[in-house]
Amino acid sequence: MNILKNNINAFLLVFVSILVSVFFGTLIENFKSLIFLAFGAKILALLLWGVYVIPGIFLAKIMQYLLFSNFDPNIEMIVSLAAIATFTPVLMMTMMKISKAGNMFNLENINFRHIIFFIIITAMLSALFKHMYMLSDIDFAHNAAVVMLEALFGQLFGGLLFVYVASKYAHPIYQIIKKLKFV
Amino acid sequence: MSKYLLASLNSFFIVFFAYFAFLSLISWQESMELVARGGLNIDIGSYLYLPLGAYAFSWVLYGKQGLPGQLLISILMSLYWELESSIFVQFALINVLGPVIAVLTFRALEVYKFKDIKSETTLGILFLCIVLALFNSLSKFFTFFLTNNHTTSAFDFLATYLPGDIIGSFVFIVFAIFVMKIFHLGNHQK
Repeated sequence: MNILKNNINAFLLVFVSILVSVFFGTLIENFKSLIFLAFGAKILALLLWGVYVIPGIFLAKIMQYLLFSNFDPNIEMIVSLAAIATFTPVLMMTMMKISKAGNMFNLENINFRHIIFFIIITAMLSALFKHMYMLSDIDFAHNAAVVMLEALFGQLFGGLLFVYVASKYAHPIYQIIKKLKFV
Repeated sequence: MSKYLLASLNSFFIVFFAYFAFLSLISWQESMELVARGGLNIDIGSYLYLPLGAYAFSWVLYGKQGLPGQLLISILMSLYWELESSIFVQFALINVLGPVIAVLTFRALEVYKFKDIKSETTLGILFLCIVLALFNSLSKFFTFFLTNNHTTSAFDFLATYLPGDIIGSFVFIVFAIFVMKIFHLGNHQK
């Protein structure tokens, strides 16, 4: 029951951040790709609730590619891209744990700098995997390097911004809401 | 002054050795008809790019003292491969500064210290090589494809550069540590 609740929380967190990114994208051209908050939301969900929330994140990513893609994806492409987006952070968490570079599975005694490192490397790997998959399948309308550069920096800035803001302000906001007795 | 000169010379010869081994390997592959003849094609990387490991190893071993030597050999090799003027400076700098940024990222974010490379675990070195390859391949990819004078596809470029960088750097660093242990060589940086 707790896992289901966490999955719903993760889905809502990622999907709402996708909506926020898309909303900003309608205000300023290319803004969506330059600060992609959903990447940070995904990382935060994995750090907070562990790998059990993979289905929730996966579903949110599927919804993203179904509703807000700027290319014409088929079902295989949607599932593959959502799988890449979901499993790359998990792969990175596992690699970091095996090589003793930091345990991302346990938030107790975690070094915040390790989280920054985790975000940087995951953003690079995620952009690389997604674009290698897409490069093998479709032709980009623009230069592939420009598309990949935008995706890389979008994920990097979005991830760092989201996790920084969440770590700094989440607890005070939660305390205020608690005082108002909404929770 | 002599400290800088010695470190630069050592760095120069370490990287030179890696290039020499790398080019010999390509010649051998050509003679055995394992790859197409015609020398190294910059559009498509090699599956065993040893020099990346040599640059990283020199940086960890000698620090900033060895940078002039690394820069010199990088420029010489760019001249040897007759790189186009639009990517000449960028490629020469990426060769030297890519490993520097990768190792500094590890140090600044307190993941690994890399003060004494002999005492690092194999998994730690493998992780360093993956990050090195990501920095090197992506920077070269952006430089190469943003100049708009490429003939190969982006997929082929990444699919050859990335595994080549990971395997090549890992092989070189593991070999170098093995040599250091055999000859009881110490770390230059204290």
